[in-house]
Formats: sequence, structure tokens, C-alpha cells
Amino acid sequence: MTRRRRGPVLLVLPTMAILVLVVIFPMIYSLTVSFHLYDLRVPRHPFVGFENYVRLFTDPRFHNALGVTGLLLLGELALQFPLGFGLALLLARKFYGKKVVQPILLIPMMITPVVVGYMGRLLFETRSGPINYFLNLMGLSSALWHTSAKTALLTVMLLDTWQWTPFMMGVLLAGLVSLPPEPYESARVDGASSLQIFWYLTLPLLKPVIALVIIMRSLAILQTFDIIYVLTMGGPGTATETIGIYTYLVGFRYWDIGQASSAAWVLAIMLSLGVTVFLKMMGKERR
Amino acid sequence: MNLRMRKSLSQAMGYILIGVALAFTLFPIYWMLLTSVQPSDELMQSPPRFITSRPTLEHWRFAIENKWKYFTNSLIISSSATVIAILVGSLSGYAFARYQVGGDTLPFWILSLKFFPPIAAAVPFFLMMNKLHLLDTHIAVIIPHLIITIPFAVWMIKGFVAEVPQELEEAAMIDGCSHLGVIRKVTLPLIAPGIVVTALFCFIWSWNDFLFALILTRSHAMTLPVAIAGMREAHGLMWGAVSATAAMATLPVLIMAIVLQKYIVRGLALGAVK
Repeated sequence: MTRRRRGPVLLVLPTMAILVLVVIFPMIYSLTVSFHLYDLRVPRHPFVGFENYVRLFTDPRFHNALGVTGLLLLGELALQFPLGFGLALLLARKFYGKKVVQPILLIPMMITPVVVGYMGRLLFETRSGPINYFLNLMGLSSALWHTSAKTALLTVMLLDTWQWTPFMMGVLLAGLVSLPPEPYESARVDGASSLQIFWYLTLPLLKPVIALVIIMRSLAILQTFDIIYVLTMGGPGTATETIGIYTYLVGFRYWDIGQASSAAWVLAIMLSLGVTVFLKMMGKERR
Repeated sequence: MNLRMRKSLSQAMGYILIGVALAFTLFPIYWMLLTSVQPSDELMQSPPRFITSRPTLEHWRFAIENKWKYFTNSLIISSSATVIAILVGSLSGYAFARYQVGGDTLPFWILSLKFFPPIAAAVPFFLMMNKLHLLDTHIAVIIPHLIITIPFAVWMIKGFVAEVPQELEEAAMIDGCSHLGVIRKVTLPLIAPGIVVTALFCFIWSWNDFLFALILTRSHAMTLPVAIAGMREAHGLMWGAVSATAAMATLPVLIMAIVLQKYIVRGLALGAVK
């Protein structure tokens, strides 16, 4: 009996050893760094207590980063959820060519985010990009997109929506397909309209899946970095400076590693709240 | 009659909307590919050209000649991070599925690492690799990529093992197979496709990473995404060359995505839906 007990623990050991080494240890290291004045260009790194955190929370640029990240979160969810849900409902029906269409629509989310950022530079190019060309064709004037502080964040949102709406669509579609058919049959027998069926049957039945996609997307949006780095580097000014970009610039442009560590920890704590909710839902799903 | 007309009208609307969605999905990819084979004098003209009559491979030649090193760097780093994740992930995935080691807490903690922000680990990894004089080596990127690949591999393989009915293993055991023999002859062949799927995903996650490679490499071990991001400054207006390089980075992922199409949603939703 004891031998059977020890065996399984041994199987888990390599995984746990590596994860302690690559996650727990670096995080403790970064926590201690966040309590030091850690400028890479000077040799001494004195202990300063919470000073990095105080500087962080009084830095208007960090406030701006929180605001930009929050706006990005709301904007992207507002675009991606309805679009993704609509497409999922569309694809849940039978139609000709479905087997080909469905995988094509899922492609964007597999593409390297840096490449997506670069595609954005091509498409939104202000003088001769195809998007402004189409706008002109429809009688609208060209927009400055990522090169103007007013529209840069919107451009990031649109680009990320191209990449991640398929995720919303795919997961919601999988949820729709696995719904039990019986309630639908009886509802139709009772003469319910399709709008009623959607509102009183589909939505409530799909609630767990909806909650799941929204929390998963939110956790990813809060970390947005790659496409912004390529498209705007946080600019113009600080118009697209998310928490991720802010942390990178503070740490690796201004070499203030101590404050970058404190910003990274604040982001990690914010995300862990979301992750807790996510895990609760995963636990419920499985029961 | 009225009902039938309404039905075919809604069907037509459906096709139109799906057509629009397809166009929106494919156009950016088409545009990048087009830019990569257009002669330089046709690029960035106003109005833009939507097809080319003089396709050229000069940008692809440039990309392959100058960026091949970064392509192989990406290949080495992603393969290593995948192999390690599959090796340790199969062991622990099996243990989590069959023996409930660590109850729910441990596998859920591992799952939560899928949302761990790379920027938080990037700073301490930079300091550590700097001290160990490992900056700009493959190992410096492979190690942090394990944060991305291992939790995913563990969780996916755990799910695939759980789908193999335990009775099958027990039956083989009664027939006189040793426990290890059962795993080798019964369970492993059954979850082999799942392991391949998991490996392909791990490879893509590592391939697509930008932040770790950006911070931990300079030139020698630089990955393809970092090279693409760097071309922006170095080659200001070489749209064709950057497009060819970006397409080169996209190709392996695209091929894998086609292989994975049935599993994409499951992989991205971490098995929450099938």
C-alpha cells in the first residue's frame, strides 16, 4: 500500500520541482527586489521598504496605465463578446461548407501576436494602407489610426478583436452545441418564438460558458503587450501604455528594476483575483 | 409561403454574414502574403494594389538569407520547451488523473499558471540570467518558456488520461499485466494522439512568445518574433522584407493549426469545453 502511495508522488515530483524553480523562486526574488532601490546602472541596491510601491501608486503615468488597461478591457469585451456570440449562433446552424468555414474562422488566434501587430501596421498605414483606401471609397476621410493619440487605443482594440473574436466564437459554439436538445423541443411545441427561446433558454443554459470566456479573455487583455509593442510602443505619448508596456519601459528603458518589480507584483495580484474566480468556475464545470 | 420565404431569406442573410466574416478573417493574412511577393516599387502606393502582375521572390530570398538564424533559434527553443513539458507533463498528468495526487488544489494551482503574466517573471529572470552569464543563450529562453508549456501540458494530458476508462486498465491488470506494462501497452497508445495534440500546442505557445525572448536575448539567441519586431527600426521602409519574414514565422503555426483544427477550441479553453 505504501509503495503505491509513493509511486504517484514520484511521478509529480519533476513537474513540481521545475515549477518551483521557474515560478516560485523568481517571484520571491522579484518580491525582494521590489523592496530595494534597484537601478542596474549603479552597483549598490539599498533596501527602501515600500518606497517603490509608494512611487508607483503616486506616479501619474501608472494611473494612466491603469486607465488605458481598463479602457482596453471594456472596449475589447464590448467588441468581441457580441461579435463572437453572433458568429457562434450563426455557425451553430446547419449550412453548406460549414466544415471548411469553421476552421478558417479560428485561424487568427493561432498567429504570432507580433505578426498580428505588424499586419496592423500594414493595414492601418495612413497614406496608402488598404483600410484608409476603403474608407475613402465609401466617401469617408482617412483616419490617422495608431499614429494619433485619439485613435491609437481603438486601433489596438480592433486588431486584438481580429485575433481574439474567434476564441469567443469557438468556445461559445462548443457550449451551444453541447446544450441538451429536450428543453428546445418542448419550447417549440409550446409555440415559443426564437427570440423567447434565445432569451429564456439559451442564455441561462449558456451562462457558465459565457462567464468562462469573459474571465479568460479579461485575464489575457489585462496583460496585453506584444501587439502594442509592435504597433505603437505605448504611444503616441502614453495613449496606449498598458500596465505591461509601462512595466517594461520602467524596467528595461529606464533600468528602474525595483519599481518595475513592484508594478509586476501589482499586476500579478490583480490577475490572481480573476484567476480565483476562474478556478471556482472550472471546479463547478467539472462537478 | 410567407414562412418559407422568411426562412430562405434568413438563410441567405446567414450566408452573407458568414461571407463577410470570412473576408475579414482572411484579408489581413492575404495582404501580408501579397506584400511579401510584390516588387518594391509597387508597395505603399496610393491607391494600393490588391493583386500583383509581377510577383517576385526577392523579399523571401532576403528573409531566408538574413533571418534563417532566428528561425532556427525559434525552432530549437520551442522544440526544447515542448519536449521537456511533454516528458514531465505526461508523468504528472497521469498521476493527477489516476491517483488524485494533491487533490484538486495542486492541479488547479498548475492550471492557474496559464494566466501567470510573463512580464512579472521576466524581470527576475533577466537578473538571474545576467548573474549566471546566460543572457542571449537558448537556455535562457527555454527555461522561462517552461512556465508557458508545462502547466498546459499537465492539464491537457490529465484530461486525456481521464478519458481512458479505468476499467480498461484494471482488466489488463487482471490479465496479468504489470502496472507499468498497463501504462505502456494500454494507456499510452490510447492517449498518444492527445499527446501529439498537446505537443503541437506547446510548440505554438512557445513559438508565439515575445516578451521572454525580447528581454533575455540580444542577437545570438534571438527568436523570430523578436527579429520581426526589431526590423521595424532597422529597416524603416522594407515592407516586403518584413512581410516575408512575418509570413515565414506564420507558416509553421498555420500548418499546425490545420492539423489541430478539431482541437483548437479545446486547447485554448484549457479543456473547459470539448
